[in-house]
Amino acid sequence: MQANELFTQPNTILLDGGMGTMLQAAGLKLGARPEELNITDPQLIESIHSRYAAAGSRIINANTFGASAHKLAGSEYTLEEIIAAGIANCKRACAPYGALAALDVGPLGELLEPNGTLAFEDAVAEYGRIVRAGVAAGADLVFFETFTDLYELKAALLAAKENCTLPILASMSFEAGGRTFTGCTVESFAVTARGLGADAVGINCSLGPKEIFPMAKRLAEALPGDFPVFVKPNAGLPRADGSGYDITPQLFAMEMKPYRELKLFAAGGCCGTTPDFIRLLNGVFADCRPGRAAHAMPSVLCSPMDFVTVDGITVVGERINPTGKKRFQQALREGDMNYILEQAVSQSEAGAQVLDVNVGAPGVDEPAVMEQVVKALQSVVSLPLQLDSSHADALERGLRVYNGKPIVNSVNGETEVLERVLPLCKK
Amino acid sequence: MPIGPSRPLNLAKPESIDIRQAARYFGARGEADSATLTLLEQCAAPLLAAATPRAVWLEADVESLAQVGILKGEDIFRHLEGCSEALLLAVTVGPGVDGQIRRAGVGDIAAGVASDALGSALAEQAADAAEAELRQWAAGQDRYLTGRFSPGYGDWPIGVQPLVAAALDTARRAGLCVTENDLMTPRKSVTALLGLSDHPVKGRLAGCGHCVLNTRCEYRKRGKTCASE
Repeated sequence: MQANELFTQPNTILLDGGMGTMLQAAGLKLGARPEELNITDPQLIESIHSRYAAAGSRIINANTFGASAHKLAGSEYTLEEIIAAGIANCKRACAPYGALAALDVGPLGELLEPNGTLAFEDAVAEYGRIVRAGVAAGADLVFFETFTDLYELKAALLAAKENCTLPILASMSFEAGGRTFTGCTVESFAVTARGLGADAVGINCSLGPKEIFPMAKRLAEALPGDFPVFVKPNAGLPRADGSGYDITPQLFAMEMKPYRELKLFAAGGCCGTTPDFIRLLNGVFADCRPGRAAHAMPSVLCSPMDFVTVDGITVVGERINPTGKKRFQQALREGDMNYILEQAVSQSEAGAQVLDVNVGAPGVDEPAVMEQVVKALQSVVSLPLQLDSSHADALERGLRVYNGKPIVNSVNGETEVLERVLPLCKK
Repeated sequence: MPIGPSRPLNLAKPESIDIRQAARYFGARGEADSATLTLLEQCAAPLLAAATPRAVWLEADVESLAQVGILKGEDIFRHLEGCSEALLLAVTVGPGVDGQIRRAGVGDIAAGVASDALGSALAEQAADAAEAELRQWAAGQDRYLTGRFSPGYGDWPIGVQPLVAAALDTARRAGLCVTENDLMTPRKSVTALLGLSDHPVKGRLAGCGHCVLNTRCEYRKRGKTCASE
């Protein structure tokens, strides 16, 4: 299979299973960085990839999940060296089977602002470095997985789009309540990741096939019928005594059967799964053609936590707007963020479903202030935002740092304006 | 058992936040006045609603923990005297609490600070609840635990925090990360070590001698210690 044939396969493709599980079984020590084995024990890594390929996996994730500067701090190898070796090991294992080698990319290991201290653009830069290293090493595709913060996934997707033309798969991990650790919903993930240019979206880790199924169904329903969806569940739930996961390959295969109705693009396993688990999936997904029936796609917008379907009257709070308000204009000029945030909190408490954000006033650097206000607003309210400006640069800055899928307001129908603004929306 | 695998611990959300403890973190000396209590009570409900407590733990022998660099200084070894094994624990009340603290502080600094104090009290309650579970586990095996001892207490440096998080795989299992400066995010999180033994053990408080706040401690200025109040 070639990378450009990835989404035209007649059958659900098999992904691989756990890497950490296999390395622990091979005696990986605590505190050791599994990614260093790409260089120190390439045969071991290649043999694990080969076992997955032999079991039927046609997308194999290289051993690069934790290859980020933060996680490799103190290592004697650079992330470029680790990724080059990791992709090379993977490609050698893939070649005899015509499988594709994916640059596997996980979270950076630090929380982004405002919950942590890592700045959004620093995260974009770090993911850019990882993606460039993967491209240089000859990866066939980019596989973002196990994300729990939608904002971090956005940084990763922007970096991938800005640094490569490879297919991008994006996957998040959800808890039993249907949200990630940071509160992101399945639907917000679906529309945001698709909007940012992921070619396929999926759910991995955290739970077993049975628990993930209802979420995978919601994921598929939030996307057009022809948009590729995949899953990589764990081998059930972790046992209370820490001795691994609680289901066998046979039970895993049984619990994967219902996924046939979701017409998945691809399926595999995560923690606790081994080549035996993948081998049994060949039968489960035999003659399963990807692609679901087309269905109506409503207009939606979202933040990570709130998802609004625009199918009736939607209440938009319009108070974040300096037009005709001297006090507001003064707050913008003086950078009095607190005043602006008070308007946001009071509208949120009064029942607004969406907040309009307009910061255009004389004497205000609108692009810079738009970015600043969007970041500040999303740190205190969970409502989706409507970016309101006739200034394309301000929209661009606001859209880039917005966490979710916003509305763009105050765009008129003139060709010149649309030619400038619509590509920003697409990006 | 060198260093065992990270295990999940199911934590129920407490029914309410310990307002007295929060008042102490808020800076109240002795009994808090009614205005303070009212403010804390008003801020408590949305903060509790935003909380998503999670905990993970593992069992390990003391020698292995020392080998990987998690045990440093003198106080933690004194605390572990008589214990050849220990339990490592991480608890967080989740990022929603940090968000609610930010939100409460918009236009009302006092509410922000009160929410921060409530968040600390809640994290302490979550750690107490986790410890109670671990005590039950130990009792079931006829073994005994010391009290909790956390990085940053006595001369056990917070620099061990990244190693603790890595051993417990907290990022993946609880959404808990450590910054470059060894601070935990979400901020309202607790890591701790409890000595484990087959005979009753009490552990040892660090005392003030090695404490980094030794010369500027608010409690010492008032002739008390943080453990006595």
